[in-house]
Amino acid sequence: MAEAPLGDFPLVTDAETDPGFADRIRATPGGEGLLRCYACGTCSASCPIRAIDEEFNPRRIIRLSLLGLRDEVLRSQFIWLCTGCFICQERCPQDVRITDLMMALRNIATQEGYPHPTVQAIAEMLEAHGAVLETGDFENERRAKSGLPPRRPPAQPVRDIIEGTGLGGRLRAAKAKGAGAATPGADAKGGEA
Amino acid sequence: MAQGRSYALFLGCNAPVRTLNYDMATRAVLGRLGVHVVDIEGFACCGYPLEAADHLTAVTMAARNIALAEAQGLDVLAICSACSGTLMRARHELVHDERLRAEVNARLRKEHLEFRGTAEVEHLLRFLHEEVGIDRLRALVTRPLTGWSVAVHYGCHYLKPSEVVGGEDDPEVPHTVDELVAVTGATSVPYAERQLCCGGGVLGYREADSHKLIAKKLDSVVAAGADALEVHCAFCAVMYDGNQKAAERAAGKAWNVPVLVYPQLLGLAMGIDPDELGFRHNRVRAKELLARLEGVSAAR
Repeated sequence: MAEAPLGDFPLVTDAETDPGFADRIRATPGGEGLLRCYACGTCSASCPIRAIDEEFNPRRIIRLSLLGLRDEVLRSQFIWLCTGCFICQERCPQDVRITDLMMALRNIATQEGYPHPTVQAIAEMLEAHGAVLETGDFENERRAKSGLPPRRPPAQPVRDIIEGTGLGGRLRAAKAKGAGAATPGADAKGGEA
Repeated sequence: MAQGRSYALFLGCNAPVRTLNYDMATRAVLGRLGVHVVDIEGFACCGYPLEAADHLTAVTMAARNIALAEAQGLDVLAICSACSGTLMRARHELVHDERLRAEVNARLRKEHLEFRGTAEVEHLLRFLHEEVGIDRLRALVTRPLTGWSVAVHYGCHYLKPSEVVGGEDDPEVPHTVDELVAVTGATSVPYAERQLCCGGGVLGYREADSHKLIAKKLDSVVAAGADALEVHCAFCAVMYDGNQKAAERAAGKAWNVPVLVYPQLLGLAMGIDPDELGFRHNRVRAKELLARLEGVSAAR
């Protein structure tokens, strides 16, 4: 019996797509170059995460975004797996600025109530300590023993910035909703893009 | 001229707590070079960890740090590549985008700060390579690390995005750190995974992936027969030195590769005592290497 012509590829129907998604990405800092992608795959071929984790595939994420599969992208774990190394951005022949684009997708996911729990924890840490690690008396005693001057990053101005842009509120709202983002299994298939 | 000038030392979040060796060695070396460092109390996180959540928040945090240095008329020297990269990218964006600058400055007004773009931001190693210069460093080497094989880890944000942070390096074939290592008398050895990212960016999101990247790198470093891995980023140091044991457990093998931050190498070559260079804070002990050094100095 002949196999279905599309094999295991899922059909994408209009009902699942958001035709405005690509424009939303393009209007977000870092996402401006999205439409220039011609799917050559240089990004995926260069990606250090792609080489070790099937779930992450930058070319596929760009195709999903261009198709308008908004929820599949924003509620995924995979958009949070980019390690931010810029190698794809450096090599992309179309100047899609892919590392920046991955950050734009995370920014949109955060706006839509799907921030990764790690980024929530980081923001809380920064609001409390002005740094991602506490630098208090214990740490400064160690520094003094090594002949190093004390470090006391100020928390208040950092808190003011995070609250001032509305990020703090967005993260708290997502947490209260228990949206907890990054619903595992939104699509765990990496596949060849 | 770099000598006799003062710079604001930007340590970031990790160096002051987790890589005291980098902090110590940087101060020791810059002191010998006649470069004064100023610790600005108000410095906070560079903004990098929040780029994933909100671009404006991250850029504002970066701008605030730069504005603090500008208020004192100082350029910024950063020792963590994630910090230098974030500050330089934010600076670049703010200098070229008037609207963003106005928006960010409105948010800094409460602290009476303003980003004007008058302060330069540089990574410590670019500063050493471009401002101090290889010739001047060579003149200060009194104890060359002859016979040491060092694997150079350029890291990502020291090179990329190249148009903003890359200086004279070609991101695919960089050379500046090899020259900085060569001037210490050590040999920079080629190895297959020289370009590989440390995985710091994915550590908080999928730790197992970061361990796999550490394993790939250190397998390659060991295969090349290197005595040590050179790094010049606080986060890369945390990954390869601080997390080497955890990655060994995950991989079920042992590498035991000493990880030296660049100013430790340079400092040793300049004759500075290992204690002053913070070697007691190296998680993977470099005892065997340092013992070799004693041999070198005894022979001199």
